[in-house]
Amino acid sequence: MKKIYNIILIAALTLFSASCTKTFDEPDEFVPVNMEPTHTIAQLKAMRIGGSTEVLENVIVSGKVVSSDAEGNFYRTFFIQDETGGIEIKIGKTNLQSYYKEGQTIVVKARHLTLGSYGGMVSLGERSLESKYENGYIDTDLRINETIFRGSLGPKVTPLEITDQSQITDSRLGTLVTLKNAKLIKRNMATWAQKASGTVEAVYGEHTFQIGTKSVLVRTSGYAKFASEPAPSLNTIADVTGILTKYNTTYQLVLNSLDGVVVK
Amino acid sequence: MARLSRVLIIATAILLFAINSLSSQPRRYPVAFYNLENLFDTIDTPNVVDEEFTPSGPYQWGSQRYYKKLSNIEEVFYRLSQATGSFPAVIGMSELENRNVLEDIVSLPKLVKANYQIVHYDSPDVRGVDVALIYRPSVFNYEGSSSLRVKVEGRPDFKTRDILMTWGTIDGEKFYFFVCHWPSRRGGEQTSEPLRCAAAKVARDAIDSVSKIDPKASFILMGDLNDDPVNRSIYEVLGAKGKMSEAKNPGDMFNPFHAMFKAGYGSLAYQDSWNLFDNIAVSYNLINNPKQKVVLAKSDNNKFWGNIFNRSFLTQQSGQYKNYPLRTFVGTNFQGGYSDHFPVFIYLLSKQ
Amino acid sequence: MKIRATFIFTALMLLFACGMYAQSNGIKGKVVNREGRLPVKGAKVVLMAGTEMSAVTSETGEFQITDIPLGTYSLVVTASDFQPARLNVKVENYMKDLNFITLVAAVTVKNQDAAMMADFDTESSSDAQAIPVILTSSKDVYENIAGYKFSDIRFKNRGYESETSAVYLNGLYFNDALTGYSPWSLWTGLNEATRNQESSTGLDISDYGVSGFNGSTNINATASQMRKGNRFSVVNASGQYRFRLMATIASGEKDNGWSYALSASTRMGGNDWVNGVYYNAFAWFASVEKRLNEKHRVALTLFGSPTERGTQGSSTQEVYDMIGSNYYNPNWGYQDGKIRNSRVRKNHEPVAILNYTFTPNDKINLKAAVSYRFGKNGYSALDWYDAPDPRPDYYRNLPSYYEDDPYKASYIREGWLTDWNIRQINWDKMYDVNRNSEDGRSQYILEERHTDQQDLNAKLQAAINLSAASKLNVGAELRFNKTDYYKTIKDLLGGEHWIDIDKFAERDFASGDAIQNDLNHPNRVVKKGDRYGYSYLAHVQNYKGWFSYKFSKHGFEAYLAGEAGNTTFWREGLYRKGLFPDNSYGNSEKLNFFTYTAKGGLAYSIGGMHRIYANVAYIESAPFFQESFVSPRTRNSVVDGLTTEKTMSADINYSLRLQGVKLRLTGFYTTIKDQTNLISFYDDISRSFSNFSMTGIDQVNAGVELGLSVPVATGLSAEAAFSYGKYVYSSNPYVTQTVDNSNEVILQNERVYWEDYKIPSSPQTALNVGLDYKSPNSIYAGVDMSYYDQMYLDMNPVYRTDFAQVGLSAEESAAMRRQEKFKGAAVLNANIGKSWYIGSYNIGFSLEIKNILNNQSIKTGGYEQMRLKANEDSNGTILNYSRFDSKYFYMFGTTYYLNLYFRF
Repeated sequence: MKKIYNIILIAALTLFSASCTKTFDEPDEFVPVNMEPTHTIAQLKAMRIGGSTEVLENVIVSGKVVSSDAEGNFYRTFFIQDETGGIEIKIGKTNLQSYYKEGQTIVVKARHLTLGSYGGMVSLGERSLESKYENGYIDTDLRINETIFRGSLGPKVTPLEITDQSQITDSRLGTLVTLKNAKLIKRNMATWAQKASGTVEAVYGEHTFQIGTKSVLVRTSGYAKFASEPAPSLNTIADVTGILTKYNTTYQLVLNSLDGVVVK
Repeated sequence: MARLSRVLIIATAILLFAINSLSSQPRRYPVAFYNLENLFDTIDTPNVVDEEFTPSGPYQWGSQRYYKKLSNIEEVFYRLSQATGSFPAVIGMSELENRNVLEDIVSLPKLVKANYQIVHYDSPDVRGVDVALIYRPSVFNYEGSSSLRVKVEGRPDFKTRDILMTWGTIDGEKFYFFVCHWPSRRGGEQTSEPLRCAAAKVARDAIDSVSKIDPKASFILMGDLNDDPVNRSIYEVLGAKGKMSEAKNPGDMFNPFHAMFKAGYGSLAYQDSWNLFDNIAVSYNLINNPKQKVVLAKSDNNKFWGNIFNRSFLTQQSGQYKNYPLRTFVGTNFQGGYSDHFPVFIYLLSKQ
Repeated sequence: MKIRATFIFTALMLLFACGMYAQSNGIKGKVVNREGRLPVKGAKVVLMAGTEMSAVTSETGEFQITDIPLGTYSLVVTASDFQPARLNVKVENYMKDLNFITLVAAVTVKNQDAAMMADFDTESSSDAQAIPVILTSSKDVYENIAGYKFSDIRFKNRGYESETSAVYLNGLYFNDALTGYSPWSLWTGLNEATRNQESSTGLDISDYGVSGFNGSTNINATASQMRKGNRFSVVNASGQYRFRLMATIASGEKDNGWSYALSASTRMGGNDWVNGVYYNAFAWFASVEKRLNEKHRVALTLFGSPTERGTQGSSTQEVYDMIGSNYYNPNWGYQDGKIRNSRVRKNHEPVAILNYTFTPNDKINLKAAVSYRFGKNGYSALDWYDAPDPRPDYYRNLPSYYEDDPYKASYIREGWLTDWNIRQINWDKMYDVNRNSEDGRSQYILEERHTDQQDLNAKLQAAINLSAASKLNVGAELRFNKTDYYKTIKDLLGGEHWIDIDKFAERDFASGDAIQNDLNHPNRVVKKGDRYGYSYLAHVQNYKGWFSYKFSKHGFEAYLAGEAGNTTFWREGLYRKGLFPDNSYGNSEKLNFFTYTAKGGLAYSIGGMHRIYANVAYIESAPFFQESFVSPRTRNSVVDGLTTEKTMSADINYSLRLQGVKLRLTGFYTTIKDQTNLISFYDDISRSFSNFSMTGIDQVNAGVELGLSVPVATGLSAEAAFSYGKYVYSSNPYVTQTVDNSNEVILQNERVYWEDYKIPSSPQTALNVGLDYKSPNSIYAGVDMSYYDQMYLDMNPVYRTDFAQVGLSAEESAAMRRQEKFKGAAVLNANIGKSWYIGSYNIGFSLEIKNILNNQSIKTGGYEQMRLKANEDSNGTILNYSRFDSKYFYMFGTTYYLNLYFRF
């Protein structure tokens, strides 16, 4: 009699062993943040006066992501743009393209973040400890959680077609543009950039395109995945799409990927 | 005619020589004791709590197991006899159910020739286990027996095995044999000690009263005493000492197993330690009386006066309990072995 | 009137009945002769029952005497030509059957004896008794305490690795074929089934083989060896799992020779100290055995322990201090409100064993055994591609990374303290990232790394009792092992697929053959359950023959044992790795090692009490598969300078068993030379998966060991175990560093200057003292205290190379090379229990409480991180290196273990 109970128990335990792995429900779908901006990006950029400027008011800006670090040409930073302009957000994290995707609306609560200018380009970041930079990367997760919010994912921003050199202005800095029928007039190497290998360091590739009489320097990092790809030869005409930036007096363009270069 | 007579003379001479040599050779009689580990028959006896040892009980004690055990006992006694050179003159046993199993033992084919006679009384023990003595009538001349009741003061309901007292003569000298199975250590060694002391007292009193009347009588007390030779019941109450020189009067006892215990020998194992519960103690006359004809003797192979039959066939050869006595049961699991105790024995030598 | 009549009538009836009842009591029996049990007719049976009552036996030898007053009387049976038989009969109030009364023939004394003397050849037989043997059913007094009490601190006996201790199951050597590790995890949860164990200590010889220098254990888990009965237990605990249920039934050997045993258990839940650690484990066991006849015996045993358990990861002291707990576990995060652990072990590796025993006589015993082990063994981990490192305690997520920027450091700290998704794994974010993938390609997945073994183990052994004093054991063993190493996708975490390429190679080579994990199937799209990443087989074959000869006489014992064998192993790649297209697919070179062992020992016993014994051994053993290949996941390259390990060991011992006192004192000295080791990890400097292959590792272990058990009072005994040793490295080995994603050799045979550094991970001083009490009514209680000291942290060999000292000042260099020593610690434990016996039932409980003082600062292990931090100047030139913080494991605070059991 008693033996039977024990046998039943053993049989039950043995059967049980077949089942019982932990299962977890998948997380809920992403809910985009719903926040209205209080300022335009141009207004935010204008707040930088004289040097490193901490944003003291409750400033909220919103824009779509126009840059991508998928190809490695952007590093620890991304650009958002609204109708008024674009700004670099020095977030500090890597592999951003999977989380802050091109076309995604990002809302930034800028209060207590720091505006800084580097070579004429205004960016938003954190206080910098180094004197040569007006601001630094935001870096920490908690701070990012307090300041940078992800909105809904929409279609990618259509780059502004620049057909005339008059369109190349400071107000367009940080936005996605296409230089239409630009001519490659100067380059410092045959490939887009120079990869680091062994003792050889990475070197930026500089390819100057001209619209009218204005030059725009396409600057490519040696860490870009396409760095070793051959660049077009001199005098090639191409449509070049990228983020318009500036270093002191020189306008520059930073490619997201080689898809942004369409040789005519 | 002359040739015939010559043959007869030579034959008679040879015969006389043979008889003479046989009779003038000092003869050695082994005396043994063995705890059989629960030798029950397979029949349920009324009024006795032996139901455990029946075919339907937890030990599933049917004929197959019973005959296996009997055959093992046969093997033990036979090999003991081979080792000592003859069937033991007297064998004391404990943990047997009744006379029937004794009849079965003495009828075992290899033992039949010894013609053992049985001395047995039913004991009042709850479990029904008795002690018994078998003897070879060609050596021991039986005169009488008695079953000594063990009573414990203050515990009128306590029942245990009687002490079997058997007396008779060996080669003309008077012997009293006591076969014991003293109360167990259940409940703790200290708590149960008074019970064993009470049993020891019964034996002590019997020896005292006999030796007063007959100082030439020799006493041999054997049994599973459930105590080691150094414990109080044996050493103080019975007074069986470890040194022969300490026995000065006819009633004084010497325990040859005392020195063996001190040297680490044992007759049963418990929790990785050896205990020597099976003892055979002898009295003064057998060791210190120059006039005694039949005395305690020592084997050539042993520096001690006592012997433990701890052959390898009686032990577990492998497994976790290697070197432990090979038992019949471990719990209710039938091992088909011999006993949880080893047999013990001494030699008596008749100086003729 | 009527009433009175009825009354009288009833009374008369009663009397009559009594009378009738009394009438039917008596004794009866059958008188027969001793030999042949033939009936004896006409024997006179006389009963002295107050008056003399008698009967005469019939033709059939039967007799009966009735109406005897109750009492005990003497009965004598006499017959001519027979000796009289005397009985003592207890007459009761029923007809008592005396059964057979056998009569012995009356023969003359002398002839009888002469006839019998002839039977026993006194010349050859001997009555010598055997010297008492030391009994070892329970473990040796030191092992008993140390084996159990010291397990909290992950104590290694004599400082030796666990693979040096031989574990046999049903006579077969079961240590893992690839690593040598103890195989206990194969039968975890089967405590009842594996309770029957025989052990040997140190260099002593066992009955099952020659074994090594760190003892051996054989577990007898066949049906007939398990205690007969039913056992059932329930456990509630807080230190390992929450709940355990176990049931066992064993039949014991039945008369028909059959025996069977079944056992099953389950362990569930976590513990009170570390989150994310849990058990979801079962175990099952079945064995059936048949004793075919006196000589032959067969047993079949099957068991398995399907287990799933979440594991604990170690972290740095910075993290523990930040959180305020030494029990932080970086392996888990919240998902769906539940704790999800990324590092989960899941395995089910059943074993089948067949045992056959043949005992033709009591001189020879032959055993044959064969076992087959198979199944799956997986360990999950996060894998990621083109995405940030998801590990919460990644060094860049810690305040120390921002030591120059206190503002950011405080933000990091606050994030850790307020946000579970920062402090632990952020599962939601990983799903989010995967769902954001344009083509459904996951960037985060959960992989499961497998080592699925198929192990066939066979043995033939003969034990021969050459004489009463000498015993010879010979054996031959064969082992074939094929292990499948690979990983699968366990969970795509919200994505739809993964591409099977080498992400580290891709970073350096962008595209092409080099980035493929398997050129035979490039750019393979893999889904949940698919194999990817790496796939190779390990083939290990070994065979050996051995003997052991034991001789004992007059208290002296000696033994001599030897073993010789051959181990062959090779790697068979199943993927053609893009980076090593010619050296990864197919068979590697076959590595062959000739191994042998020579052991000897002498012992002298004084009575059963004192025993002095000494042993010595020399062993040459093969390296293990897992340490013999430079980068086993990617290529067939073999470690340079691979050679056998050479061990020389000696010990001297004294043991005492005297009136309850048990003592063993041992001194030992062992040198092990030419060891190999392989450490694999992610290296931040070369930014790739890296391997350190070390050769020429020598060590010396010397020490003393004392075990003591002394009865102090009735039921009370004092116990102590003490181990004191000096275990150090005795050579400066070589390290070669390779990476998985290129054939670059980062460090080639760089010297590791760690001679005289301590062997890590086990206290070199350990002491336990305690009191144990057992009352007559089965109350058990005990209290004990352990003290541990001289424990050192596991080292990164590179910190001790010249390479790592570059650019460092003398002080900095000393800091780089220093080995951390843990503080000494004391732990207090106690236990109590009681057992009740109610008829044939046994019920009881036991409660154990460990670390009563709740000491939460006791390091039990850990390791120096394998990476080096490169300190660069503004131009990017490496100035020097510094260490990363070490990682630690801590002993749990107070835990309890309550066991309730029921046996019948």
